[in-house]
Amino acid sequence: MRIRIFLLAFLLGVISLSGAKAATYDEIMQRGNMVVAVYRDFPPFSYRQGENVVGIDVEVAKAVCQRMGLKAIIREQTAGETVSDDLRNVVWKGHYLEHNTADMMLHIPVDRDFMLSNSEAAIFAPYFRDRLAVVTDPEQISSYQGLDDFFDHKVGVEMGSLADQYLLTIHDGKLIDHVVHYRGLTKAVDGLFKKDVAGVMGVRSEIEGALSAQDRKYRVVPMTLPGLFNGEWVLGMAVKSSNRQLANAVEDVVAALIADGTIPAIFKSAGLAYIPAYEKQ
Amino acid sequence: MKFNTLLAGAVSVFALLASQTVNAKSVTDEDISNSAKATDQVVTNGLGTQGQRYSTLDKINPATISKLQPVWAFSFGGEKMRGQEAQPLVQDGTIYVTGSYSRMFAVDVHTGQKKWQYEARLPDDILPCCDVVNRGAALYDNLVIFGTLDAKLIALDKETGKVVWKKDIEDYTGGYSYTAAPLIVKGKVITGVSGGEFGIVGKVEARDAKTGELIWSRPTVEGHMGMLNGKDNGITGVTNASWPGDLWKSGGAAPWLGGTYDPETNLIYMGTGQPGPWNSHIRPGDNLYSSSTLAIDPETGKIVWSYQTTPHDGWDFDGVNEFVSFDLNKDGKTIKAGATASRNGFFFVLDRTNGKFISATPFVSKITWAKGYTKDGRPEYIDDNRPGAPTADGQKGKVVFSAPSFLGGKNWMPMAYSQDTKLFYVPSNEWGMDIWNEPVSYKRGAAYLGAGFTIKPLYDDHIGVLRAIDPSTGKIVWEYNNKAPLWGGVLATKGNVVFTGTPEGYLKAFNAKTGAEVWKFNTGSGVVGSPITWEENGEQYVAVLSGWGGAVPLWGGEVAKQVKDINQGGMLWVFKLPKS
Repeated sequence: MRIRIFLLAFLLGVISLSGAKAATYDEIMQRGNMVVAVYRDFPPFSYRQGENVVGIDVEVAKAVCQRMGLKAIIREQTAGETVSDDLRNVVWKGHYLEHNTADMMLHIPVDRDFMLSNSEAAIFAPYFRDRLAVVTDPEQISSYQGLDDFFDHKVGVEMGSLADQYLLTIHDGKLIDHVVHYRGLTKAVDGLFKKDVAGVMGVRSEIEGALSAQDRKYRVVPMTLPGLFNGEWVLGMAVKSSNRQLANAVEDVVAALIADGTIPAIFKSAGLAYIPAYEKQ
Repeated sequence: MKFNTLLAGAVSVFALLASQTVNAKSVTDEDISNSAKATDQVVTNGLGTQGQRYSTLDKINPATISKLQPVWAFSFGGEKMRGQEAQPLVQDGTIYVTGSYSRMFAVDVHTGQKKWQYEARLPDDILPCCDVVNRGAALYDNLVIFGTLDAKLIALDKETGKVVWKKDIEDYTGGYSYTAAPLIVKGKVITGVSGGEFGIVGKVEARDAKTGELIWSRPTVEGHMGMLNGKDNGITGVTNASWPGDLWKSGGAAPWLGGTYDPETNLIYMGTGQPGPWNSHIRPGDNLYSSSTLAIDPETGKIVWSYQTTPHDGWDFDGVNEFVSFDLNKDGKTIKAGATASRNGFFFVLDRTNGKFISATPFVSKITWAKGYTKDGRPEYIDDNRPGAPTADGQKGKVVFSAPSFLGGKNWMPMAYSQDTKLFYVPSNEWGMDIWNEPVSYKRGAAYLGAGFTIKPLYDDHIGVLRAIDPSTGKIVWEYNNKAPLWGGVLATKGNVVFTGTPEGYLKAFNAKTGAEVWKFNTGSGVVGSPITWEENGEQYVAVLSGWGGAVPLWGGEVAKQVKDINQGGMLWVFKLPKS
């Protein structure tokens, strides 16, 4: 609560500090590297494998930098209470504990309202689409029909996630006793494997990544929230708003990496379906 | 003569080097028991474990205070400034004080010369929520003990600053931290834990102060198992009695401000934080023991009684604020009472032997969430003013105005109680908050349902109010209005003086009976620490930290406008009233 409030207040605030000085496009190209921030402990996008930070976002960052002739310096960032916090801490101001910012951050929602309320950051280069989904264990629920199935079973969620908030409130809270909270979606999917729960609701990409890591082929069903928003969102990248020249350059590179199949291949090699940010209708 | 002194000096230096810890005066259980009365040292947070922050010194009084003058000032140095919320300790010629960013300093009390400095090496993946403050240390034996932002408890040799033991209070990667001053009770060091994120569970723990070995652990959320000497020691409360589903497993209730101890009842009093998740509509029930005062047996860690200041908290009204023991004179009787000024705007008086409710009276001018308290000590909620459940309909939703704001009628800053005037001196703030549902929020790359908050002052000309409150009636005897929010602790003395600091940089003194301002000194940055007083060579001293920070400047809205021009700092100021 404290963290969330602090964040929001910051956004709304009159504290108009200019923040840390960001390296310009020219400076980045001249020094030959780009510092790219990814979330810490966030499989399948960015996580530790021994000493190395690996994952889809790390591969995307490296592909972008390589195409620009730059060395990618990957920086892990602990997630704050909201993405707006992360933008402030990583992209445009720096956290008060370590004031330096990264040149760019991945996995930032491309959403008009969100962009308007985070004008200190430039958000661009949508590179995939994500959504809420449900995975069920076929041995416990032979043919998943919908959330009402969980009146007879347990369903796992990541603590504090949209799935958590949603399941605790639907049917006037009657599902509460069936919802099992986990610290992270990977642990929730582990609970599914152990049959502690019959299903898991959460972010599609993270569920697919957790299934793929254990080589399981459970069915993942897109989840819509009846009567509410459609449960989908688009992810892109962010730089400090004064650095649009960098954003423009990266945007072109990302478009090319999607068109030539590089980014889709990164998703597929991690065991995920690649869903483009915007489907051609 | 001169030669002799030199020689003797040389010999004693040699002796000192040979057996430094033996020569140093250690802090005993008796020192701690006497800490409310001893005037030649300050060995506990709160000037006594009861937390009254009252001194029997009276040389500094309204008639003499104009002569109070600075003796020296000591800079914490480095680039690390931000909020300095600690209370200094004074013992055996040394001042021990913690600074922001988990630093500790030992300074010669006479000269201001630094003896040693310890800086905790903080991991680069911590993400503190609410500034990088530390609220002070504890002294015991030859040790000075303090906690760090990465949730470690560190005991240093108080003569050398070298680490004697170091223990994890919790795993910081799970969102835990530590900022409070530890409490010493009969050879044990008592700690709570901080944690702002959803998913943590609060706990109170006792360790052997000399070794750091864990003796007992008491979770503050019902359903969790306690521990004594490595064995199970009964669960806290009754599982699922006041929480739905498995939400008790992540219920919050962090006792992040530490506690007080009353030797007369032999009880530790700990306040607990708000329950999680913040949306109260999905956790119907009282959500024990969130937003409560707990009385804990120091030998076993068992909860002897509890009182919940805000049952089913939906406003972030932590119940962490200090519970101060005092003798209440009411209807011709003397009651062993305790008082706490809650974030929720009410001043509570309880029977400290059994937790029985005596009274709850407003100490701020506007409270929107409850009309008052019943005789049984239950709040009479105003249901319309409870923040709504977030929805995913893409609308901003209704804006609810709520007072006090989540920063509270009173926040962490400790109040004082005068044994002469029988009044409490409460640093309070007059502010409310707008709350609404955000149409769209994101957390680590995924959509979620968030709420928006912004804090607003209630009045144009002031936010902070220092109030003198009569605990027998709840009546406010006097008030001092301050433009910026008050965020520092209070000290009362037998000299009929009350000290507190302001964000504008002043250490101020007031006539304890009338509230008339009798002295002020600008320290150069905001004062958000807690002042102390003691006596050296027949002269009365006062010390306080200067260094603006804490939660207030991290906020936006209207409040930020009032404090944005205050410069940061990091300075220990020492004053005295000269003999002549």
